[in-house]
Amino acid sequence: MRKRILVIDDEENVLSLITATLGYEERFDIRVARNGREALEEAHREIPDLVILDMLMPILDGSEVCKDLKSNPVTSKSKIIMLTALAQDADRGKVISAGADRYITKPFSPTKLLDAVEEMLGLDT
Amino acid sequence: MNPLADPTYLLPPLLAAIFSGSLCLLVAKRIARNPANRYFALFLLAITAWSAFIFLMRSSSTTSEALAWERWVLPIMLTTSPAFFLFTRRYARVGFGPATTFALLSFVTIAITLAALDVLVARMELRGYGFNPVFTPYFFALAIWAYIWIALGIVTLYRAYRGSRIYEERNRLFLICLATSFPIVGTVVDIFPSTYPLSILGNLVFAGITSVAMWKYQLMDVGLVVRKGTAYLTVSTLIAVPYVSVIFFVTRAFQNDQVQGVVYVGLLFILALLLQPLWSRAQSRVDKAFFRRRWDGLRALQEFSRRTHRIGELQQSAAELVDVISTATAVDAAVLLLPSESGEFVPVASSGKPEIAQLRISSDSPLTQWIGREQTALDLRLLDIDSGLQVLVDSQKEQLKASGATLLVSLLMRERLGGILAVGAKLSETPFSDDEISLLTLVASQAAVVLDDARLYQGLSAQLEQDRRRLEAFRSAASNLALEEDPEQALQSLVDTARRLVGAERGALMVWDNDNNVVRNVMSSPFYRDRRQIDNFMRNPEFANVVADGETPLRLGGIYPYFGSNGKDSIPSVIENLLAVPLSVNGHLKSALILTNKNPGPDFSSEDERLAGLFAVVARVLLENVELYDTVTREKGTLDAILLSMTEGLVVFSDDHRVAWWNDAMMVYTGIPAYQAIGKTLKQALMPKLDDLKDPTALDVLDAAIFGSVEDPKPEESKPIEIAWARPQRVELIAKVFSIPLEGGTSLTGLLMLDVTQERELEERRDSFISIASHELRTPVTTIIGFAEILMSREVPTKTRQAWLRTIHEDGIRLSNIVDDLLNISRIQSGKMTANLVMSSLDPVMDETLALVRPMSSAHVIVDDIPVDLPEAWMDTGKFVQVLTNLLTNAIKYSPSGGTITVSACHEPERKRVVVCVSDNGIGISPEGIGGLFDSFQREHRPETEGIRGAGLGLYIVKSFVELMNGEVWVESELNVGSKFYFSLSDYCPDPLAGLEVIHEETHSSNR
Repeated sequence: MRKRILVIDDEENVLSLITATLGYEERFDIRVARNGREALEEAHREIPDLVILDMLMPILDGSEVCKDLKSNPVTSKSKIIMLTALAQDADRGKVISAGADRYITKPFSPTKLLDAVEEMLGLDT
Repeated sequence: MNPLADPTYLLPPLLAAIFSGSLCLLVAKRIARNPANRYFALFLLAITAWSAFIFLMRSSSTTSEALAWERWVLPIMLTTSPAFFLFTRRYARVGFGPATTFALLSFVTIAITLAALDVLVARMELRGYGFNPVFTPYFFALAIWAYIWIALGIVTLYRAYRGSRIYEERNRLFLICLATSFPIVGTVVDIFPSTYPLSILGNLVFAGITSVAMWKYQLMDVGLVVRKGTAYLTVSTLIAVPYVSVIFFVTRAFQNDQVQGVVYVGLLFILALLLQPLWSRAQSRVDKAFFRRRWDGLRALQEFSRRTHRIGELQQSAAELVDVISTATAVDAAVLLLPSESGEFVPVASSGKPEIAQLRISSDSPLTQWIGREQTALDLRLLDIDSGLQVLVDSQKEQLKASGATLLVSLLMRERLGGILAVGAKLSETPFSDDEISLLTLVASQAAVVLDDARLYQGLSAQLEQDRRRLEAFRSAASNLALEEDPEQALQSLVDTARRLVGAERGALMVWDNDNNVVRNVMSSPFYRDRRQIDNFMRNPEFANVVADGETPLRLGGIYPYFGSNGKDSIPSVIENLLAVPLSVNGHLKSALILTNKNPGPDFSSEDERLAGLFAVVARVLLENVELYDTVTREKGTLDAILLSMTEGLVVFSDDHRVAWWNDAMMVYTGIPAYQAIGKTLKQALMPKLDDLKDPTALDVLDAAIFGSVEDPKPEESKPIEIAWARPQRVELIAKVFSIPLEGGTSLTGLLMLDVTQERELEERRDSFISIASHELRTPVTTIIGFAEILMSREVPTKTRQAWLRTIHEDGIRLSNIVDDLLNISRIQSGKMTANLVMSSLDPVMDETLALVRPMSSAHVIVDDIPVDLPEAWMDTGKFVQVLTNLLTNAIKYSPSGGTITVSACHEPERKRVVVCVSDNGIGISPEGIGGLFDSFQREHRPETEGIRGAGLGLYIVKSFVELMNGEVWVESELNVGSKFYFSLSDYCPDPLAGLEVIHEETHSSNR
């Protein structure tokens, strides 16, 4: 069964980049959301195995979505990779404290993102 | 047995011996202190011995026995002559040289030697009347020598007789001469063979005449001697009779008793113990009986002395004294004269005849000089006799006689004539006896002491009274000074009071100015108008020392050249004497209180110095207060200014942790005025603002820190505590509790609040910018890199590849724009951005802009509504395009799809400008959001704006560029209706003349 990945980003271009990266050969069941609220709705409708979450988003910030997902027992098992454009130490701390399993800073290499996703989902290439 | 036992032969020498012997005893008994009388006693002794040996010689039974006695008679007889000579010399107070002494000693030695060698008497022959010596030539030689001594003595007495003015004395001398002549004549007759030896009869006559002289003319007080002798015998009898009776009785009673010895010892012991008190008591009684008057006088004197010890009042002492004198000496009048201020001796107390109270004696009169010199009583009968007193003019003599005074006694007070006691005539109308005079002198000397004491006491009490008054005046003056509020007035008053109380004509308080090395006249009364006088003070080395020393006062008497004329022109007010009391203020300011010209009085006294010293102490306190006041006022002024003007909030706490000081900045921060805060704890003071606090627990932390600091002051500041209010506007403060140790172990605890709101806001905006800029930059980079990498790593269908490449391109442009914006902002903020203004029409730049903007959104309609007749305006075309682009982009962002965006423009000729307007029908801007709309990195955060990207740079760039083009930018907006952004460009030619007009026009229009 394909792993379900929920990708959330308010930037259309980034969203399409991620779906292009992960959607190759259709290995994953990819769902997308353009803001936090949509993301939570989507996550509760069908619990994703992995959430790729943009940090800076309108309507519910990435870290709030992350906290929400991790604090809810229904969704707490989902792995979360946080995408952030922030490089400062304080922001990294914020990401970790929000409960994300991993974070990847923008700009990122699609290959590395794929590696990280596979690692998080425990898939061997 | 004497063959011629004739009483006429034997009796005369015996009588002469007894007579002269008695006289000798009287004289010797009375005259212990007088050398003249002592020699007279010696002379009398010689006469006595001579007469006695004559008697023994005459009573001899044989010639040889008579010869043996005669051998003793001759040297004694010869010795009488030198004794007489010595007496006369002493009596007349005429001295003699060593030659005379030698001659006297030689005579006596030779006489005794020749008598011992038995060469004076050849033999004894028996005459019809008795034994008669036959003399050798040696005796005759010695006799001539002896007559020479006698003759010299007679001459001396005669001279004294001539020299004396006292008739008693003259009579006495005459009688002595007369008496002496009888033995002389007698011996002369005896030398030559005669019918009867006359010398011894001469001795008898001599003794008789001498007795008369002594009795009548007071050579001595025979009565006193007799009384004394009788009194002594009486006392002895009074004691002896009972003692002898007791012993006799005891002897009879215990005649045969065993205990007789023990009884005797006990009895003798008791009698011995009783002897002294019995004797003195008996003597006292007998004295009282025998010397009634003298005893009364002495008792009165004792009483007087005892009372005057208590009295201590001059007038009363004098009255007592005069009464005592009158009583003791039984005189008709007595007066005590004491020196008055004019120097004359005037009566202070008198008794008896009123005439004596008229007596006045000038201090330079010969009388006072005589009394002062002789230091004894003056018998006024001497007035006509004494050469020293004959210079008195008749009027003075008349005055003395009219007063009825007969005797003047000096009162010596401390070696000086302090008063005169004048005594009237004795009631018995007899002259004063030596005894009375000595009593008077004794009384007078006692009285002098008493009067001197009284005078000293009087002077002392007067001085004490004066001191008391001055101190009282000082006290009231000092307390008045303490109440004086104006320190200058107080100093003036002090100097004036000091001058008045000390009695100086001028007073000044001078301060030594260390900086300029001159003395500064702080205050003077009256003013030393002449500057030179003050300068001269300092030129006086003594004065300079006084001020430098700062302790020892200076008292100068006499006219001081230093302060007087300066040679060229004299200063009218000469400083006659000076009193300077130095005082140092706070140990550094050298100054002195100076008083000059004591008036009245010759010079400043030590009491003046003491009083001035007291004033100096007050002056020091005043000056110190002035200095302290100045310092405190100055420091407080400075401190107040600093504390009030400081932008930091400052709170000072009292010892009970309550607010004591609350500055204006605190009121600005908290909105709580000082009067509401003072007296409360910090938490109580901030209670009205408690609900607005972002973190109310911070207040507890702060309160604890203040409490800790008050209770346990530490020099270091506490850790900063953040206090923040969210309403009514955002205030963020950092509070630090500090304590400053003060003198005396106390400390001052305070709270300093720094306003960090702006810093925080700036910080937050910077963080926000970094985070936004980072996000804005990284997002396009992510897609560019990501798609490029995918495209490079695998085969992609052509259609997909085209789409991805478009995305890469799109984000590349976006990235480029953002970088441009950031660069612009950087240049704007560093001031490097300039505008290249040209006069241009709006049409071409409008077209350019629309060509750029329209492709961004196909969902919006952009309407170009610029009038065709719009005049040209001054602009930098590049910046114009940027401004318009940014405004249109914003309009697109904040308008819903399908919205219409209109660009219009109009000419405002009266304001010489062209106004361009970009309006939309978008979400609008809230009134709160308009405030910081054009600031950099400011974006309004509303739910509607979420999802709309932007770094908050656009409007900031708009505003900056418009202003660079001498224009303005403003906005009109209504929520959910739309916004209208305006900016203006000037249309006039910027030449100097037009500029003036424009300014005028603008002023005019703005007034309108």
